[in-house]
Amino acid sequence: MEAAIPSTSQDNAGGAAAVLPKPAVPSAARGLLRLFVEGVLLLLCAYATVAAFVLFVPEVNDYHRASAMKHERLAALPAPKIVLAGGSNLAFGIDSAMIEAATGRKVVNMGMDGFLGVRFLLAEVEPYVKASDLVVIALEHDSYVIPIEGNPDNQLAIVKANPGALEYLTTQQKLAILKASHVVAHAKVDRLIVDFSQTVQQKLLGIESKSQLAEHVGSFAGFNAQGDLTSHLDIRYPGKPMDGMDLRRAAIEPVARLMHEFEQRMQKRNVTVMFSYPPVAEPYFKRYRKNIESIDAALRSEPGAHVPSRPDTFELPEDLFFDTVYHVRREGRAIRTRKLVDDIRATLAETTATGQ
Amino acid sequence: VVLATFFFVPHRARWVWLLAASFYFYGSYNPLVLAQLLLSIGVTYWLSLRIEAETEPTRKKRWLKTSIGLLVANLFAFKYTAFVNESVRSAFELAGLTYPVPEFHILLPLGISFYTFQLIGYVVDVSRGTKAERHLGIFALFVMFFPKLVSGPIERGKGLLPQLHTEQFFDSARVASGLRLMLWGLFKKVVVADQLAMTIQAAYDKPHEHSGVVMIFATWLFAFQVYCDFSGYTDIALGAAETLGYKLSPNFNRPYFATSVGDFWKRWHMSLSNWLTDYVYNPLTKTKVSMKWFYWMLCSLFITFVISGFWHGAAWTFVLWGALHGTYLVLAIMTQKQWRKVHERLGLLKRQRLHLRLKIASTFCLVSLAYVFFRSNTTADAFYILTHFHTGWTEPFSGLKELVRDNRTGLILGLCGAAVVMAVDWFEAKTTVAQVLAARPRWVRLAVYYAGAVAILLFGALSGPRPQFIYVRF
Repeated sequence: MEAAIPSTSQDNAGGAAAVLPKPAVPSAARGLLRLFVEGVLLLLCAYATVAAFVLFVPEVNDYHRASAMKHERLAALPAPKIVLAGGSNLAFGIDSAMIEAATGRKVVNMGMDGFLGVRFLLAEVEPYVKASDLVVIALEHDSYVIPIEGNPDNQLAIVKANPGALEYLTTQQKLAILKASHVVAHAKVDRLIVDFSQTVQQKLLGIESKSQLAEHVGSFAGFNAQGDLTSHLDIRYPGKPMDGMDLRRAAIEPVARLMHEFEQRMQKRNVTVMFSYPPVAEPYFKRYRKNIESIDAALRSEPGAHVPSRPDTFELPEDLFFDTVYHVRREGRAIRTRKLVDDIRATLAETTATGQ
Repeated sequence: VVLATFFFVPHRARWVWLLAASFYFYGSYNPLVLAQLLLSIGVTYWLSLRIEAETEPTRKKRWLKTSIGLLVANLFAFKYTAFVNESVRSAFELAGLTYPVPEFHILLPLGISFYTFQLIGYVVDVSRGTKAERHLGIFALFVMFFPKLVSGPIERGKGLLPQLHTEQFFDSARVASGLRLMLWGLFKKVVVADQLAMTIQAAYDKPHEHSGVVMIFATWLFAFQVYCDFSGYTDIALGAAETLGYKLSPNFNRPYFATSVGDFWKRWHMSLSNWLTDYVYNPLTKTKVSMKWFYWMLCSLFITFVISGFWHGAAWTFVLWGALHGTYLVLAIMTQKQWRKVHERLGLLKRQRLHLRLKIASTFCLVSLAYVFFRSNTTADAFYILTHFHTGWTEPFSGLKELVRDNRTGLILGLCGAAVVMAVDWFEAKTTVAQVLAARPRWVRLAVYYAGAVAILLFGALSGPRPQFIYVRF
């Protein structure tokens, strides 16, 4: 950052300045240019370090690797199939085999992570659905609080695990990922510190932390061929499941509009879209009942929208949940899937009857 | 942008360029308050010329009083009216009376306390014989110079005005030094102050839910937060000015290594301390009063600190903070001999190193204690905290664990950053880091800057809502 060209006020005031032509402006230009170049190089090096941190420090687990496997299945399955689109409530809370047995259709469970944003969750499904397919959308209610464009941290994690996912991101989302790279790196620093302190805690006191348990469960190996996560089913989470977001902050209209626009595009391709709801722990549901009912009203506002059940159909006792108010364990998963099967059957019967 | 173009603008037009940048900087906050600032500048400019032109001492004094009165009234109107209204309401309610004036809020112009003091200092200097500035543009720039407009340092006319008239030439070493200072300021702000902010806020927003141990810890953290926040801002301001060739007054000199509260105030917010000494304390001590000079000197000291507290914010918490510092100093002066005897008996005078360390530690404790008033949301909160310091000692870690639960990593990073800042301060007792770096090869310097930039990007609190600079509120 320091140029060697001497051009101080003392120099200019000295005797040499009287002899030589005054070089103030050209030397200032050279000096500034040099400083600028050095500054930019320094910043580039700093950002390269941040990028290296983002790329080479491993993720919390290999959960996002399942994305590639799900995309492969989605692209490979012939129509008519059932595509489940949404966040982690689907990954943790669906028994696809039960749906396949009940409907006779192949299922791909695309549910991964609600923080990827509704735009991404719909975009990754859209190119692969074909006429006579059924798309079931079941977003966590938090999706109405999270920005539609999603969280760049989570998008970066999925792109790292599955570079193919990049094509479902808009230019704006890609730029947001670039801009957020230092935030991602910072989150990794945070995690390394937490990991270190938890490892110390575990070694000294033999206590396994709640987050370590959740991280262990959320691994690629825990997914089955249809895309359902099964590693958590029989584990009792120590303590209460983590709350969802404050739904009083929900911006329902833009998300509902995006989903209705998706539905209209699908209708043109003779694809049926059905809206469903995630399983929700009772206390959380009760606290935000009004907000959740507003979501339901918004989804039903479009004539012809398939919304077979009310959100309270999926309100379940808290002890059926794992780490969050949206993630059910084995028993909860069976209840939720049975209800969803009923809804799918009803929707399929309706579409067959109306000839859609 | 300002730096990149500054040295290409002809000297005679540079003030226009800097003033335009300052207008943009201040106006982007709120154009309305810009008009208010320009009015203050215009009126003070005209009055300062009147003061200078006046040869008759009584009239000169009258013009001076008018200038100070107008500036104080302006500050009072914007900063203290709502506070007085609320205080009167409380008094009425205490007396069981109904107060007719409703609650209201006035938009506080950014940096009003800083530029008002600067303008008052300027007119007083002119009345004392300093030449008044004739060039309205340069005078406006003296007040509005963007690096220091919102949080100081509080500059004097004789320090900054001649610099604004002098042509500044490009000096790459000086620009690099300025950028380095800005980088250091940014580190203090985002790696220390902002990382600690969340934990401190969690404690001070609900003091009734935390034990005394937790509040002591949060107060201790606040000492580092406020230092890194304010000195971080100052470093950025000084660094930005330095890149353009201007030298602003230093504001900090390793304050947490002060050996007494008096020493602390010679090292903390030095431009304010100097201002208060020159324009409040010294004139007060020279006022003729009926009591003995020694006691009047103590009273003047106390009054000066109460004014300092009131200057910081329109709330009783700040007044009490200033009053407590005033009390510390008054007591220190009154008990000077007794303390010396105690130190002698304990044998501390023979053990210089230990003595010094004890003095530093005790000063830090006293300063931190006063921060309880500075940081508390209300006086009731402050007294609650102070009267509950004894609680939670049987199980100190459970409360602390609960406090740091949501921001454990931020706290660890903030504390590590604070350790770096304090280590640098400790090191600078002998020599400055700038001097040490200057003696090192170029690649070492670049490596240090690189490490600083990476530390800010990786360890700084750069996501989520960013806390504003604490002193911007004043």
